[in-house]
Amino acid sequence: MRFGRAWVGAGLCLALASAAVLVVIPLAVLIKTSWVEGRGHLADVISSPGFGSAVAHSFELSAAATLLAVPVGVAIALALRDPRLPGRAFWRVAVILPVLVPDFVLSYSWLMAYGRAGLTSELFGFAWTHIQGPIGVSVIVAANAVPLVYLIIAVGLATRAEPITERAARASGAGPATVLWTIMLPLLAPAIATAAVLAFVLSMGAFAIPQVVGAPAGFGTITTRIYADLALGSNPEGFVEAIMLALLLVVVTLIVVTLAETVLGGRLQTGRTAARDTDWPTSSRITRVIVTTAMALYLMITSGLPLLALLSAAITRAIGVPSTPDNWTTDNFLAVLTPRTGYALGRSLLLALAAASVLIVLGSLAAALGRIRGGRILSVLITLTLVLPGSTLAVGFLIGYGRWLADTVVIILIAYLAKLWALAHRPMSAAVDRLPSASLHAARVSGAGLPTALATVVVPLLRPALLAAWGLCFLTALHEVTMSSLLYGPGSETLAVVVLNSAELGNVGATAALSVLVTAIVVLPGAALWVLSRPTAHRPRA
Amino acid sequence: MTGRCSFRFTLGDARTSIADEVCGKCRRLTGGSFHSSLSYSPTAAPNAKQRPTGSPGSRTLNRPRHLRTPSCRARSRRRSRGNAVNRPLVEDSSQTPEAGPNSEQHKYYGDDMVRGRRGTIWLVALLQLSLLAACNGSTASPAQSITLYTCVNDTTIQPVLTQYQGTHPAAKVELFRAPTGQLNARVASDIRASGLKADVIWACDPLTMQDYVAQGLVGGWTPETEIPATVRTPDYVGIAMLYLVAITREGVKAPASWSDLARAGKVAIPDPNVAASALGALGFLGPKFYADLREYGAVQVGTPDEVTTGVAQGTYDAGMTIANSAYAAQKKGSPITVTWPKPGAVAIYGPIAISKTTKKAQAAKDFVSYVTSRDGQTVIGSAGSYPTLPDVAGPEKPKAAPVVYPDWSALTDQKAALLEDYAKIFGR
Repeated sequence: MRFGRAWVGAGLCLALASAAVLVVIPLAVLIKTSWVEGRGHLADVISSPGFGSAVAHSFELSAAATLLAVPVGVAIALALRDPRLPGRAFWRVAVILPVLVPDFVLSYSWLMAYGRAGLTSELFGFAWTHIQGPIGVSVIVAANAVPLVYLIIAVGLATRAEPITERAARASGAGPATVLWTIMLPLLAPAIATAAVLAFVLSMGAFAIPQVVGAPAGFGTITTRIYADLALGSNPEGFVEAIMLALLLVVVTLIVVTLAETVLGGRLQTGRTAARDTDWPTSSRITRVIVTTAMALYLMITSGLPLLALLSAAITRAIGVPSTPDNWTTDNFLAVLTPRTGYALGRSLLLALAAASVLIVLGSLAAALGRIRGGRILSVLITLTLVLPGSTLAVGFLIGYGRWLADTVVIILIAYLAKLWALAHRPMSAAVDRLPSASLHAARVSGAGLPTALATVVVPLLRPALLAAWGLCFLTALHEVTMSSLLYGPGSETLAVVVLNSAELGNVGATAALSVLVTAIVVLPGAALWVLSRPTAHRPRA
Repeated sequence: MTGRCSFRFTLGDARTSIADEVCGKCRRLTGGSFHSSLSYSPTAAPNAKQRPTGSPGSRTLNRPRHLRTPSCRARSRRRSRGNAVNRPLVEDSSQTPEAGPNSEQHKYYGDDMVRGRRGTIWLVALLQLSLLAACNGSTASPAQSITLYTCVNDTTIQPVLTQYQGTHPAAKVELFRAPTGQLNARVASDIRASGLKADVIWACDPLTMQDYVAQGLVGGWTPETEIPATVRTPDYVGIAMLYLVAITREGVKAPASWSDLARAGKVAIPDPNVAASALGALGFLGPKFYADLREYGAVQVGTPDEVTTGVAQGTYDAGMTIANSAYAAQKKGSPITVTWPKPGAVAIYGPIAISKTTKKAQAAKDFVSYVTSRDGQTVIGSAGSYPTLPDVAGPEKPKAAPVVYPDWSALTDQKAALLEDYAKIFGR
């Protein structure tokens, strides 16, 4: 893609200015704080009891979750490309379900589904004893990362589609394994790399799942240490240690992402234009049956049962009583639906809308600049705020901007933008490098200005990626709680803050009702949105 | 608290003469205790995670530069202009001749950094102007408005505020509520940005409050009240009680004493690294009790609420949790039994204190006086928390239920050692 020099300059300036506001300044504030107040104590932090195991646990968790989530996500994306798969549209939506539920509610729902005296234990007498511990944490974190991996791979498939090569290979007698190994995986390599990096970073920064599910087995990570540092007492030492640990996460991420970018970044990009044809060859009937069954089983395990447990908690009057109609109640919903939550809901929707809309612009910008050196630095930078635990990132913004913006929605919006920029950028970057530069040139030569050319040539092609990024950011922003609960002030409470102010972490009923409510609010328009986006998903040929 | 506070006394306690004149207006950390606890504590008792390093020299270096420069006023004036909530009613400009429009003498951050950030802020502000207009209502507040920071949840705090504002029509309380960890992060950020924004802090445990006092943020005044001396210090008053009790699931034998808890089945305990109530219990019951629990297979979860949820759900057979949380679940119908084991439920009080740098001291004192009064305590009692005034009715509590009171001032000093012992038992 070639834009005018002025456009590139303007884009780069805007992107760098945003990166300065959203990433560099909060990070600088945190670094300065830990330098001024904690200088010379790094050794103490590192030698404090349990530090080594926390770092090791964080790494093990991220590695395990990435290794689990990436193959599963890729497999699902590949399975769902078959246009004749029964219920394909449904599966595509259902895979995203875990994103609808806040992390800590998700952890409880898994415990309620598979733990001791959980749903499966009631129904089938099966309780998964290892759910509380490293294995359980890894599985849940991975299940939580699968939708992301799936989205990125699916976007990669939609925008880098070359079904012709697959048909050619099949026609020449290659088996499915050969096709997968020699055509699909190389084709998807950039998307897979992107997804792996994002899954790793997300797992590194995961807090609620290790806290709820890992703590009972003594499985502490860097993020749970940060939580403990802030939770007990208010001595400045704990605060500075929390910041230093968060910065450690940033350093680790910096190393991993920079490595990935330098090793993979240039090599994976090609200049070849993608085919517009997204009609993938279909598989045999038996394969389709197997795939459908596997999908159903997978979704049942990772979303169905946990969400069922969640729903049952939301409609049951107390925890621990059997969820029979006698014990059903609307109390939890009434607790969530008050006039106060009405305003907060409006504010949350508006914030999430604004954040998602700004984010797809910022994400596209970062993705479009990915080819030039400055752009690549940018893509590393914006990943850093994703790994920072919400509490620490919010602290950075409060110290940096608090004196002007504290208690306003603007600071919350800025925090959302910073936290989710990478989520918007990665799906886009998996999609942009195969844009047909020829068509863009043609448009420009024919007299279209850059805005027109973008709107008529680029945006339609990128629609799946834009929608995926927008949806992801919107959903995540809608139930964000950690940063909002630190940054809000009178008149800027978000929905999650209002609900959590009446129920602490650990009180499941009301928060389950909140999740169900948020899901309902999102699923209906979301379904409509999905139908609208379907033109890109071609119907099978009769 | 001897060595730890020694430096504070030189600055913080002489606040009328030095701190208020120099840094009190700044509403930032006034005492040096904050940094002394980090790097300077030659005579300190062994308190939390005490760092062995540090010399008086390094202390001076590590202090924020503004504490060494006498120009806080200009800064505080600039700041109050930017924030209507904290803006003083009458601004006496004659007293601050040095506060010229360009006097950027107060350099905590470099001048260029401040300017640079201000520039970017305007950029963002412009970009988001439409959103601002849509959702950011007026932040101007009436004269008597104070800001309250608390970790007490809405069930308790909302009725208290409603009653207070009902009986004191001129008063208005702006509320910021967050769980303790978030509250600590907010306070820590506040003092590093533009100074503590709260006029009153209502904390959930004495440890957190003691830390705020040690940093010179709150304290120095308590109201006349009948609340017993066991739950108050010269700096703060306990206004609500929490009791750490034992709960068991239906069908599990309730422990008569704490030492029986280990054998009650699969037991869950809250994390003393996270919940002050759990630390109080650790201090009172001692590491041996926990070693015993561990031997019988007890596990540690995060907060007391998580224990309640876990036991109610059947994930665990028994556990230690907060009485309010247990009775609330029981009342809704969860199949649990609440016991106050011998020698007694561990009591934790939630203290309240006023900011040392508040500009609305009278309004803040009025509020604190109200919640420590019989009226205020009655409201707290009926809102589901245990009042600290002895004869005011609170939520359910068995008659003659045994209660023990940990020695919080000793706990502050022993915290690090206790948690280290604990970590050996439960790991992290």
